[in-house]
Amino acid sequence: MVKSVPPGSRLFWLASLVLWTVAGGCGSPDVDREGQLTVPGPDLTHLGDQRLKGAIEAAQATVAQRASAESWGHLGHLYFIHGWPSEATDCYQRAVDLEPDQFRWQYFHGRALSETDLAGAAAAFERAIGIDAGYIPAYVHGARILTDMGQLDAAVGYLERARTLDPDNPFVELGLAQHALAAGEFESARPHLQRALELDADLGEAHAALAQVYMAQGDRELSRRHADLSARERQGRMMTDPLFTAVQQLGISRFWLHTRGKSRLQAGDFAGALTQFSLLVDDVDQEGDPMGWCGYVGALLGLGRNDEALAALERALSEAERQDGHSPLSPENVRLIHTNLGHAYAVTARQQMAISHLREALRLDPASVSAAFNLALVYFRADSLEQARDVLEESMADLQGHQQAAQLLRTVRERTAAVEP
Amino acid sequence: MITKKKRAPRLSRESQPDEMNRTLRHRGHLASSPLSLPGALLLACAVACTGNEAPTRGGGEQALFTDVSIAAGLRDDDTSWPDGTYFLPEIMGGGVALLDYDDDADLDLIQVRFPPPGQTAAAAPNKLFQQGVDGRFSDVTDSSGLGDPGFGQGVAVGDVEGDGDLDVYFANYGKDGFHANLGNGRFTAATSSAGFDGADWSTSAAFVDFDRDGDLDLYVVHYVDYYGGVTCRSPNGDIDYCPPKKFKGALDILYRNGGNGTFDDATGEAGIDVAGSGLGVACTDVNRDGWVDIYVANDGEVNQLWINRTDGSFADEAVMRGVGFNGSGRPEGSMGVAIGDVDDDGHADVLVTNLWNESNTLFMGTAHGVFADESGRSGMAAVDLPYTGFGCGFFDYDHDGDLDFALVNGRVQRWPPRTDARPGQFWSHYGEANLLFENADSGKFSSIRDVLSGPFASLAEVDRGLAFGDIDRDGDLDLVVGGLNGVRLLRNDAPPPGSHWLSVRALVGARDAIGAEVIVETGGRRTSRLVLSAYSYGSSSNPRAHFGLGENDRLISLELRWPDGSRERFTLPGIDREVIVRQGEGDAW
Repeated sequence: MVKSVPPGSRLFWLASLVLWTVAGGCGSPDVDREGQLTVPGPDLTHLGDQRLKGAIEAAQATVAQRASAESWGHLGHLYFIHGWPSEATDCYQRAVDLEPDQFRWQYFHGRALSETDLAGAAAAFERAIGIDAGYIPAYVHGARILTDMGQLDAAVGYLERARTLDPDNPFVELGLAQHALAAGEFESARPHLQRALELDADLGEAHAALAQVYMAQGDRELSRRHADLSARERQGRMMTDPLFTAVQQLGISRFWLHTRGKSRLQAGDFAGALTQFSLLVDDVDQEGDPMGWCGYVGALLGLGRNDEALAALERALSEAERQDGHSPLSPENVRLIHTNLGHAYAVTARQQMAISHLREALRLDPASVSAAFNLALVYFRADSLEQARDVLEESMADLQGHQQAAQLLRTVRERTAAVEP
Repeated sequence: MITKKKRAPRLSRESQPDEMNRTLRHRGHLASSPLSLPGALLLACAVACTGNEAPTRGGGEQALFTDVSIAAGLRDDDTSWPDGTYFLPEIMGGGVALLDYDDDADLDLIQVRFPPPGQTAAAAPNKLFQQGVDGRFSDVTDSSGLGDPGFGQGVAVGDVEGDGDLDVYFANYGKDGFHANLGNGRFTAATSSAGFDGADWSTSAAFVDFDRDGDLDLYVVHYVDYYGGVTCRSPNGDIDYCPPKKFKGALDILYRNGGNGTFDDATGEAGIDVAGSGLGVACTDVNRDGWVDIYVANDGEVNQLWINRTDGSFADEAVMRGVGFNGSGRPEGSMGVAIGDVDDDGHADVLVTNLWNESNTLFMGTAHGVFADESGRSGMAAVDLPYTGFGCGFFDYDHDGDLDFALVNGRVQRWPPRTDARPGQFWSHYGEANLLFENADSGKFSSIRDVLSGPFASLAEVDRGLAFGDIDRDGDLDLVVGGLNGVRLLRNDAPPPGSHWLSVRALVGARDAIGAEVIVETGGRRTSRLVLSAYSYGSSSNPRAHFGLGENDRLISLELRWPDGSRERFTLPGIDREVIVRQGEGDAW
């Protein structure tokens, strides 16, 4: 495992080297009146994340020595995704100054300005589109900015142009529909929304808007149906934006490690998740960041490394119990540890240990579906059918809709009925 | 003390002769006496009975609001507050309330309080400040018995027994507190005896007669099932306050008033069955069927609009009516709620305050029964995008006849520090200035620069509560702001000389007609205001319907649409005064 990155460490210099290599180019140094290069940056004195601090200082050093558009842009990226949009804006501006014909600097300049200066952002997106008229996210973000500025016709113009370029983009159709809705033109909105759902039937935002359309037109039944669908479908999916996605990968703070690890865990990429969570778990030793444990163990279990998972879980649990009731872990996380321990012991055929931890998980949260189901499963596999049945029946209300639990209960009931006189 | 220094011709409180003050003391008796003529209008003269006396206003860029908190005795100048400990409830309170608890015709003030960070066991009872005849406030918490010791977040005010005395409900992190007004300047704690037994994290509450049985019921908004010890981080890796999505949203509670001083939990029966991370609430008859509906702002989740089905139950139609998500179909960090008809089209409009980078959302009511997100068109989004808004409300601060908008701000996520932020280095990462918007043209707003709006919008603080009321009784609406470390009282100096106004107190029996709509017609213009106390965030305002009339000095008509949907018209002999109207004493139509 890699510890945090103090300046002078091998990783620090490696990061610097990578940044140096990425930077490339030979821009003219940007100097102040005294001839010193001015590198914008936040006060890092109190920044606790040494890994991020090291990376920023390395990027700043790179800029100070070779002020290329690439190095300014990279520093801007680090600022932008780590929550310093104003500093990012300054850096992107320097990149734009050095390479005014590069689409990406104009685009990211617009993205950073979107959080601080709408008029500036709108101008940046317009310049970006002038350089490369084919990147759809620039239109969509530009339209959002123009909408917030009240320039609705211009916003619709952007979306219409985007639709010409990409007739199959549901987010563009959605944007056009929403402008029609804002103008009270419900009938005009409907075909855009129907087209958006043709392109992506799970677009919850389109269902929500259709609910509004049908309500305005007096069809409460259809309105209700789409409102229900909007609640079921995923909200908040983002349009594909390869440039921004690449920049997000530069996120190295604990926030990003956790976000990325969780995302990879959900996608079933256990090895990728383990890489992210390993760094977080490593931080525990130094600053007590316990939030990586659950993800770390989840990734190990996903990879089938059950013994390692067990060791990690037992360690996390002893850490929690050592705090005399002042655990840095939430009750939810303690319950999760017990659930995962139960699962891990079950997988390694240590049934009594599994039952003990799952019982404890269920005691901590009697409504826990995963604890109840796993406990029933352990009993079932141990041929303790009555206990399995009891657990499932006691948790029936919480297991509503849990298909596997329903199936297990049917099986258990059939078998217990068969053996009872 | 609250005096209008820039309005020379007006009588200030201190300069009023004793006779005037004696007259004021009798106003309550006058207001509560029965009408001698059917349909007549019971009048009550406002504090100075100044009629059309023209207030003067100096030239140049004089501030529209003046901070008179210290002079009024509401706080000292110590603005420090201990560093935060990332315990979420410590950054979510507290609300404020304006109410006349002692029925002496001037507004008193409640400050919702909570222990300083890191001292959760410390006593921090809420405070009641009584306004005296000199306009100064005295801390009467102990003598009144209103010092609820809970971890305060919000407050609701209503007359639950219909006896004319205002009772108080405190929304707490932990067990809430209900205090019945005994009518003698004292309150008695009646939480359990009244049937309030919730111990979830409550943020806001609203008294509302949802079943039209004549007494006020109570809707309590719950936030999340919170537990401490969870570490959350901002994008730069620093520890930060957790977002609500880390926790399960909680189910709100609807209490039905049994009419005998006790309440029972009607949540399940009413079909309030969707948990959410609720923060703000406002109640009005959205679909104009004569039954009040309930709008709840949920933090990071779909909002709820509980449409009253008239049988004691509700159905959530927020998404169907376009107020569940923003115009992009996405949930936002919804905190505070304001309701009013900002474009005078006869349809209530709703504004929800949100997180930074989301812009606040203005939902404009339409004739189709649905709302349209016109945040961009309103001109507000371009200004408020970088702010995190909480308490808010529509009010006509300058008496030009339309509803303007004020909101208080303060982040919940770390941000590069503002060097001018109060109340300390830690909070400089969260402090923001407040905002004031002028309604320039039928729902098109322009921001009032901080130099003009004065200390209301020039200080960077972490503010949460905001309440509205004519505290100095000069005819315009003043502001009370609740922040982490105290309250601020902002005196309104904005209305220009010669502008007219009208304040209407609408009563059902002895209590305010919460949910009524007051409509005035003057100079060819029909304007409506709602009788509401619960809106904003965790706060309670004076429910008088206040109208700025501009230069119009002749009122054509005054109409009431009562909470039960019935309508009455009243005759009014004059303006620039506060009037009291009672249901059943006007001309039905």
